[in-house]
Amino acid sequence: MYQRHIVVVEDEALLRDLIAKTLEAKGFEVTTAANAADATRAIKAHDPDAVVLDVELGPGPNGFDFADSLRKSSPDVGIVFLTNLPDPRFVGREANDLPNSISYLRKSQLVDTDQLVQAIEAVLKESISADYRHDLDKDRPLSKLSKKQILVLQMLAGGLTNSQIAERRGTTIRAVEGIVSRIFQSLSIDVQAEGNARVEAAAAYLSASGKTFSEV
Amino acid sequence: MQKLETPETNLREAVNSAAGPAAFSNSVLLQFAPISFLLILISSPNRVGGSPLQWLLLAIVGYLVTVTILLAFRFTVLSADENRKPRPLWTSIAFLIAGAGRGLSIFFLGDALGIMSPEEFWYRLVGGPLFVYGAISVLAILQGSRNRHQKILDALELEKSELDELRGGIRERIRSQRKDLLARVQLQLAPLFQEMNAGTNSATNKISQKLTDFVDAVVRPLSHNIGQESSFEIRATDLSKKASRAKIKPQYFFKISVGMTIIPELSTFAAASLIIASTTMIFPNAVALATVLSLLAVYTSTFVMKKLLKKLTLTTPVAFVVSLMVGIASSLFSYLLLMVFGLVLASAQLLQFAAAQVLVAAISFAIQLQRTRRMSAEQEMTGVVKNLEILNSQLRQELWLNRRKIASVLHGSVQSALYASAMRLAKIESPSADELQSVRDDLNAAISKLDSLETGESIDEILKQIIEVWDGVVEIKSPVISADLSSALSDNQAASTCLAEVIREAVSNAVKHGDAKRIELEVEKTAMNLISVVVSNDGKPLSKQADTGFGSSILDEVALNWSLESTAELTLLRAQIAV
Repeated sequence: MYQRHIVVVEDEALLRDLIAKTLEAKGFEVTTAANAADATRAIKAHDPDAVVLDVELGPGPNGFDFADSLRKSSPDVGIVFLTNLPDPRFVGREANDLPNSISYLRKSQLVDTDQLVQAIEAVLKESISADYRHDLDKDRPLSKLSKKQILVLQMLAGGLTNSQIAERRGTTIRAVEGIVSRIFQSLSIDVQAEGNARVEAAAAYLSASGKTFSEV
Repeated sequence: MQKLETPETNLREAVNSAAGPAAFSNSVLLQFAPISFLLILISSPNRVGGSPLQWLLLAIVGYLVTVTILLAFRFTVLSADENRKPRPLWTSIAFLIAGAGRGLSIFFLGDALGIMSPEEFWYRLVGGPLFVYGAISVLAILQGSRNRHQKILDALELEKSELDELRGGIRERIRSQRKDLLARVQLQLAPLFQEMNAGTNSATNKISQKLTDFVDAVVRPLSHNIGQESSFEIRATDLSKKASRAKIKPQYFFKISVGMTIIPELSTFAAASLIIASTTMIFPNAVALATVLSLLAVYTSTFVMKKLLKKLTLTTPVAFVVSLMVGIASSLFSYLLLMVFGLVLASAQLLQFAAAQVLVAAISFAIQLQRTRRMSAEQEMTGVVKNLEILNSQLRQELWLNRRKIASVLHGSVQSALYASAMRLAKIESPSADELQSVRDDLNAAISKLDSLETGESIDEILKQIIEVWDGVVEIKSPVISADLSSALSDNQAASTCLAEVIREAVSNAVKHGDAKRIELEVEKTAMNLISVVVSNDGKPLSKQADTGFGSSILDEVALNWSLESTAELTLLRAQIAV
């Protein structure tokens, strides 16, 4: 019987093995890779049906780099992202950067391993539903913000002033003030209320990205 | 003894200083007083007659008239505001009018006192303006040079302070990151501790305790190690000391090029202010010829001496004596040239001329000595600031790498271990000792990665990965890493990782945004602490939006500086990385 072949790309051995065992138990043939280069070799060697892919893969190319390359070299290979990131905006990409044919699951949102298997099946059958696109979930953190607003918010959380943000972005302070104002509106932060609106916004970013102040 | 380089004289800079606000500053007007008094008291009484008291009165009046006229210009058209632009024409008019006022006031008061002969009129009328023009210009050039030097040092000092402040902020953030490290690990582990403790027996409690002990044994010493003063701190302290020395350095004894202390233009300019007036009295029938010959002789002799003595490097006191001898030689040459044309100076006149040339040579030496010291101080201070910039860039790299490693371990190993363990435990109703042991091993393995924060893949390995991942999509020409660079990178993991990140980001952007088909990477060590990276691709030029995106944010953090340039055929990313 033909076994569908999956390449699991995850730099954490523990999770990689767990995913591999789970998929093997569900009847898939599995090859594992610890980084993007290993994964590239596995793709060439096995011509798999799909990849399960983390974004953070240690030093070197990340999961998005690998996916971009894979989509150009082997467009028929299905892609399932399994990551901690809420969506691609958090690494500087557009929220809608990913094509409809892929699945995007957040590790923290994964109820059980069956959901991963269902996502792979959906990708292979090209019937992706909203259940397998956590990156497009309306309730995901900071879903109302654009990539540009996320970038400014990240700088704001990093302690930069409006003029410093303007300098980095090569725009005027007035333009940054406009973006910050719209961020406050989107996050329903009352600038008139007691407390510091910038701190509230920074806290919202830190909460969404799972980072601390020092990591921003 | 250290040899210092003397800067070339700059006529434009000199004219700007002489015609700038410094010429009308209180400082220059006060410095003019001793020169003004000395000239009158030394040269006039013996030649013209009269008592010292009468000439003191004339000197006071001459000085006050000169300064009053200059102040009148200062409060009307030539302000002493340091932001005023140089105004050569108006300044010349002011000097000439002030000098004429000086000469005429001295003549008429001297005439009233009965000590001034009518022959003195033209000497005073011509000599006054030329003297004021020459003396104030030289003083203004000196003052302008001092002001510029101070401005540069102040700006560099400010830059250094800002860099110090920035460095302090970065170190504070690194310390704060490291504090977070422990808290985050404990926080991440807490739910599992609770789960294991709640569902089981004393064995699980023991495991929890062991895990807590493990955190204490591994994470705390790690935080402690990271928090210790690094070599960066020591280097920063050294540089700060060096910067202080550069600012206050009272260095007068060093080796200097004798030729570079001679300023033919200044010697000629200063000589003109004396010669033109003197020839009206000494050679009344050949004023023009005597003036031209004298000035030609002064300029030619000082110019030739400058060239001949350029490579002669002597300690400053000896160089000073030689430069005075050049002044004497110059006056002797003038004397001989005048004699050829039948214009013979009396020995007293020759002595006066030689004294004037020696004085001008001394002034030239003083100007060049100060400029040499200032240039040396500025160079040293600039070097300090440049090194501080590199040091801060390295600190930013350290911060970035530290953050990345912490995030990588916490969100990667530790979190994955938690997920995996949770999934496994969720399937087991009552975990056995072996199963709990297995969970513990998994967690230990994850946390133990905190201990390996300092290790990483080499730049060669990462470059190979990048090339392999994009194989078939874009052709990447790998850079040649020299042995020197390879050694520097293997000793500095932060720089190595930053370099890899810059290349990864550049390649990814070139393919994604530029649809590049060919990318060429060039990496070289351009200075002791700097790596230059050029990533060129044949794709579409990147938009301004892409330029200011997250990729640029990474570049801002890890690179000392970077730029993006698009030509008709190529898009080039250039970055400098501190190593």
